[in-house]
Amino acid sequence: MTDPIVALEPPELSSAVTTDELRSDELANTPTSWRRAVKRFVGMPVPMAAFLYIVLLLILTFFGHLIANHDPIDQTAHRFAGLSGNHWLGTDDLGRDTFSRLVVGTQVSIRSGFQAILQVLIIAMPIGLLAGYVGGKIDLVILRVMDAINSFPGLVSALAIASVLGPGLNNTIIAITFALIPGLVRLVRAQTLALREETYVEASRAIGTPIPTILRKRIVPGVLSPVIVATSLQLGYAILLEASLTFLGMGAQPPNPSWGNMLQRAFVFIFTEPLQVFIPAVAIALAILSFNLFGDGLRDALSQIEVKPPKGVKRGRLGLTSVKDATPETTQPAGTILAVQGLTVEFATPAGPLTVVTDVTFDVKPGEIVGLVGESGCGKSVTSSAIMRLIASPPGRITSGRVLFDGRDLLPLPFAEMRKIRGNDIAMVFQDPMSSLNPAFTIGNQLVEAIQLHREVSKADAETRATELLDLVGIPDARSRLKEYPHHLSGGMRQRVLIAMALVNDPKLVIADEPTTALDVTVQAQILELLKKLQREFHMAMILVTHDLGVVADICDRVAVMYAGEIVEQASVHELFANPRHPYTKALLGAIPQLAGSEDRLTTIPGVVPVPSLWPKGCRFSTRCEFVTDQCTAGPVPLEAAGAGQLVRCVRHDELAAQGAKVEA
Amino acid sequence: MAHLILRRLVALVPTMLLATFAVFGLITLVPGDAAQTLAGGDNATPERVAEVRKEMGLDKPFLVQYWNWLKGASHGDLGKSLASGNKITTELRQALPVSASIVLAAVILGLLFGVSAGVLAGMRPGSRLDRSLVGATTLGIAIPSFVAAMVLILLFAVQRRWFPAIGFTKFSDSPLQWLKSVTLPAIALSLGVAASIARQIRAALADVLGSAYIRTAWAKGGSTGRVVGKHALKNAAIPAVTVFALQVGSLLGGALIVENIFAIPGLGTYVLRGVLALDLPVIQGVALMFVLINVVLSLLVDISYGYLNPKVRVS
Repeated sequence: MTDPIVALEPPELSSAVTTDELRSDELANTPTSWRRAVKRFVGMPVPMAAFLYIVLLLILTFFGHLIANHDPIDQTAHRFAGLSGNHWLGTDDLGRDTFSRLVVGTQVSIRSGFQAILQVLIIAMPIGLLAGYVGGKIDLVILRVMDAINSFPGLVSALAIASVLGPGLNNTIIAITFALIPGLVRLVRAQTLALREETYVEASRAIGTPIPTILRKRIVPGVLSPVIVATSLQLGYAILLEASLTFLGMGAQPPNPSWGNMLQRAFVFIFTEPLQVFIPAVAIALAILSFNLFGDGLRDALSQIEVKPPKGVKRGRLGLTSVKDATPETTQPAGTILAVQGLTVEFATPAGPLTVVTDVTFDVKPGEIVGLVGESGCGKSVTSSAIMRLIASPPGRITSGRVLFDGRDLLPLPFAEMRKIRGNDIAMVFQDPMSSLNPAFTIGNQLVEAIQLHREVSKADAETRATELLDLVGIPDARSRLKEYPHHLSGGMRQRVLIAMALVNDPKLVIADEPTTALDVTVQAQILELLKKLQREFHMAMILVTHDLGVVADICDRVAVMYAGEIVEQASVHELFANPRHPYTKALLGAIPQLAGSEDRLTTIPGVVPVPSLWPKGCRFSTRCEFVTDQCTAGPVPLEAAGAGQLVRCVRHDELAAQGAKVEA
Repeated sequence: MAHLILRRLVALVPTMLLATFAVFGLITLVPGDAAQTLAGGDNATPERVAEVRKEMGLDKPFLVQYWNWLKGASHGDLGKSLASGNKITTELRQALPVSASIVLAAVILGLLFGVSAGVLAGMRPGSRLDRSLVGATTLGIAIPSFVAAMVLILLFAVQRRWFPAIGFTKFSDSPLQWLKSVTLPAIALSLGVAASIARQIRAALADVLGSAYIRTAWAKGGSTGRVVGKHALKNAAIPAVTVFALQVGSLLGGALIVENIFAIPGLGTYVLRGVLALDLPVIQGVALMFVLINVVLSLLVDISYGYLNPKVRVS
């Protein structure tokens, strides 16, 4: 094992954050959160067992000599007497009772662990606070000194110090203390540094609170919880160092028993008396293990983020959404490239599975642009990812439905078949260009890969094709861009690269999931223009997921409006804007400045989309609808045909259309 | 890249100076009159004490001693062992390759098992396989390498006589015997590295697999091997590299004891002999070795950061 603080320190040069690490902002630091942490800890079986074992070790430390049934240095028994009622764990090479030596020897390990840690805390806390809070040159010098100590493995520095100081337990403890200081100093420093920048600490400084008070009231409480966790882990390490040094002849000197010197003596006889080696070895490993498990449990208990595993969705294949029930086969409606029928998607939550997309049905004709519209949280992105089966299982799963593409249903397909379609027949452009390209590979690498995954072409040919496409999407100096990394490009440029990547294999269908949301307004228009142009050039069908009806009016042929996981209205763009039938669609249209016109009042829809667990049983928009009646909340509302090829999910749509006509007249 | 390495080297200079100062400063911790103690304590003859004092330059002021030692060290002269009278650099030259072969074997094993276990667990966090692997890493981290070494000897050298319990064969003498003699020590040493690497990779991979660029890789039609092995692993390896470097440091510490257990004539056995005889020049020489190894390790880490994370190269 290593210095456990290592595992707690964030890597200096990397931007990646690992979940295993400890961060101050997620740890408890108020009395109530401490109480909650204790309660949570008691509920964890493994850390609790470790805790109880530590309590046992402490009892042995203080009362070991009372529990031992023999004098640990009494040599009167036979050597290697074997296990018996008198000698529970046998005797050693000098005829001393192993059980008694083990029990009395506990004291050495535990005491030296706690003593070393106490010394480390007394020395490292002020140094760390000083370095972190004062900063500047002092911080630099302290860091350099700690680096210097750290350039030796803990055991090496402890061994060197113990050797010049001379053998003996106290010198060993000093050596261990020294080896452990840098880790804790760094931890305290890092925490202090982070807390110093917090606004509430800055506020204290601004009103002139004296530094000692700030440290005592603001910094130390925040530093405390990670330090407590680290202390527990370092106790294990201290015990390891003590055992190691004693094993090498440095620590507790014979005849007084300690686990380390028991092991050292027994090791000579490993061929004939393996049990005598095994016993102290297990004692050492168990002690370290229990302090580690206790520390890990403490960290989890102190963490303010509640981790409850989501329930209800079985593990599926990596990279492919699993499908619960196969829906009977049908033939694809004529004249469509994609037909989504009854698509229903659920997600696992701690409370069980939750349906987030219900019975979604729509189709896309070749060369057509279909808009999928709705507010955030209405299920449009889930729907678009489900078509490609890109939702991870768990947490997501398609419970039923069909996704008919080019004559076959994609939902029953195995991964190998689905893989041939992805990026080849159906391509996707994602919402967030900043994070959708892999930061570790060049643009060229990622584009060439996209081509070579589906075409057997040489790298040079693939690069030529990639350059052509970068050119096409309007990236200047395309050839030299191939060698650049994503972080060299702006957001708009990255989205162009992603569009190019989607198009490299001439897909029949492109799904663009809010392709402009993350971009500047001026760039948004350019990207939309580009998509429209390319769609025409490539004669491909497109699903455009967006919350912006202005965009829909601009480039779509047909629209499906989604609300709370359902399609509430479907129509041609012309029909939808001329005669919106669903109150939600009407409300959406009323909220667009360009459409509302200068005389009309710009309206907003009161409230927000309810979360899936709170969806009403009847019409899901009923909680926010101004036309709601009892009829609306009675039960699920079906999608009905209305007008010229329009579909609407509203029990009052005829009535409202008539009323609307009257009002307008 | 060259620029990055140069910059890091310059940054390492003060640390190295401080570390060498600490190495040399060990002498101030020697209780009583250093020359007397080092010469063998109260039983030493006055001639021997005077000899040691002269040999180690203990009659000069401390800083002058440090300067002379540092000057010698930069020329590859670390003085002579008080016990054997041999030049320390000569002795180090014999011991270092032995240790290096074991440490290297342990590092390779640790990486191999650590990365594979981490990937297997990280691909399916929460699965039964994941839970058992995480349990195994908890054990791997808690079991000291010398305890593991003894258990391995018990199992594979005493019960089944597959490997020699002690001793070391040079690779140049017999590659097969060499392999047999390094197997058990290397496994014992690799457990901690493997467990820590596995934990880091697991956590990082589970994180990275949920990221947008991984979704892009799936959407392109990437196979599992490509998405996990290429796209995810390169990013997940970044935090693991830091842990790996620190782990190698502690592995070197563990090697001291493990060499001693297996009676392997490497740095560990050498320094331990120096420790028990209070042969200070030997202790200082080996400690200095560790400082140099640490410098090389930090550089390797920086270079791998540069490879794994292109953003580092420009800053």
